[in-house]
Amino acid sequence: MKPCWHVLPNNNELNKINDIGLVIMGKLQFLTRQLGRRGFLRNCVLLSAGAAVFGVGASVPRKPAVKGEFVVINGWVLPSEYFKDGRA
Amino acid sequence: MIKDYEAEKTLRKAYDVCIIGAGPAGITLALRLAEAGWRVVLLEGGGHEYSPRSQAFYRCTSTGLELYAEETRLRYLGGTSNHWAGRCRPFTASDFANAPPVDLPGWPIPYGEIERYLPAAMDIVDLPQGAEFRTVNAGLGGDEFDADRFLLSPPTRFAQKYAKALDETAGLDVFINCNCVDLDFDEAAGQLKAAVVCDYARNRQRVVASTFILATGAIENARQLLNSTTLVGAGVIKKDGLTGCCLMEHLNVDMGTFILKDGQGTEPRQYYTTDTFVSEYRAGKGNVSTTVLTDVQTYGRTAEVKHFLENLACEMGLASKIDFVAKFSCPGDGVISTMIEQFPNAHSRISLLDEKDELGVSKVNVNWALSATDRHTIKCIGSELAKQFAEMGLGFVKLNDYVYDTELALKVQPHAHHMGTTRMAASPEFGVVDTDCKVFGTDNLYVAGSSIFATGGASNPTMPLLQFALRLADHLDARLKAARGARV
Repeated sequence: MKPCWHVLPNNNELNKINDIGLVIMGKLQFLTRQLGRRGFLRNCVLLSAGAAVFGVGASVPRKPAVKGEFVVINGWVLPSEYFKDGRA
Repeated sequence: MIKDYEAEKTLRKAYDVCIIGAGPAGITLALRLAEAGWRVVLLEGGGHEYSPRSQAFYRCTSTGLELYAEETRLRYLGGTSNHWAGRCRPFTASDFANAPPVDLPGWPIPYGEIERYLPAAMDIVDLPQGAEFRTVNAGLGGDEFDADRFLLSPPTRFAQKYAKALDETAGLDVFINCNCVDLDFDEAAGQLKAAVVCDYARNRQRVVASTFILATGAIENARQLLNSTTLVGAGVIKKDGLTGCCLMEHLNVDMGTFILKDGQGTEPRQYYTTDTFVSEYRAGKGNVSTTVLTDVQTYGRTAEVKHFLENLACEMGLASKIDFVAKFSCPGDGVISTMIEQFPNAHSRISLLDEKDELGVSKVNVNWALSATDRHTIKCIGSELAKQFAEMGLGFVKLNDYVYDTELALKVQPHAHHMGTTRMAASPEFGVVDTDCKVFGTDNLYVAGSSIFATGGASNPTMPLLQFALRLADHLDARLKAARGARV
């Protein structure tokens, strides 16, 4: 039997780096490239609820609306709107 | 009648059906088939009660994640139902319609094949007839998590509930302390001729029947098949084949903690992934449970963090805000646990060892292993649950790092739901039993229990495995009647 390891493709172009170095990720992007920076990421990783989807067919239903982005800092999943430059 | 095989070796010359293993599946099959008029023998290796002597035969080595293979099973009359917790959640149509995102197929039958047995299975586990599977909390909104729906069995202890029936049903012989140590397969006939049994003094005897059913749980079912030299010699069971492979569990991952917003109720909540979630993320299903720990609510650091999170929009510099969060160290208001689907993978398996136990049966090694697809499921469920928690204004979630960083070692516990080691498939290329639960390459050897599960979903397996047992009983009743008709 062949092993059942399926690694979803990553599209790093969907990543954005903001002014303070936080990685804003497309939906379902799981940091393949960035994992070498784990010490940083453990404290500060951005997940997003953006509409970019990869690894699934066009027929897959999408969420009807984007609800906002989230940042993961030290494991805490928090709305990214409070962690953008120009805010606070 | 229930007899102790140590004292009474009064086996009949031949039976219509020989069932090995007196747990929920074996007891259900034995009573159904005996009530249908067939001569049935039900063989149980243990006695009426727990005993270290019997339980020791469940001891096995482990090379993978810790499955607690000895502690989670019980080797006496009633089987593991003797410490079953009783949670019941049925499979749904999507469990059968959707193939897993791995190189093995899903169920080869539609859900309708077992759906019609749900009322009878509910009756067996003492759930009210016609009762709706209920939620205990509101949903999360959005389209990714619903409130989970389930019912709680008392829970049913099969040996106690069916003691009188096992003792008095005509045509049924039940032997306790009767250990199956070999399966004797006749290659020319394509049939199992006998189950070889013995007492604890190793006195052996052959049990002859026209039909045999293995119902000893996912680890032992695979072990019995792999241990049979005649089945292996005939090529029916291949030691490097699928028998014993695809051992699946439900994953209890310590996802992390959470802080509730002021005014939120502190009752436990249970959520369940929607079909939309599964489709969109190509992930498995899962239950997520949040439980508030009342003893930490007044903990000083929690109060400080809660105050900060309630005032996220405060006038604080961005760098200071990130630094503050990065240094959070508090237990949170509660914990998040899960019951997540594991996809079948060939590396997660039972393997036969050269060493034999005191009765002469080869011991086994358990290698419970997850795949990248399972880590993907855990990550998707954790991340999306955390977002949804915040979006709904319930509070904020702190995920453990191994949830979102899949290269870190995962902390996961099993749920004592062993599945998949003799998986059902449309062809022997992908499974061990066919759509009738018959072992490929044999004419009269069947398997019952959750070892036949092609996929495990995130439903507690006891009630579904009873649905399959009831279906198998109907199938065998029809088959035996047809064979009897052909002889007349």
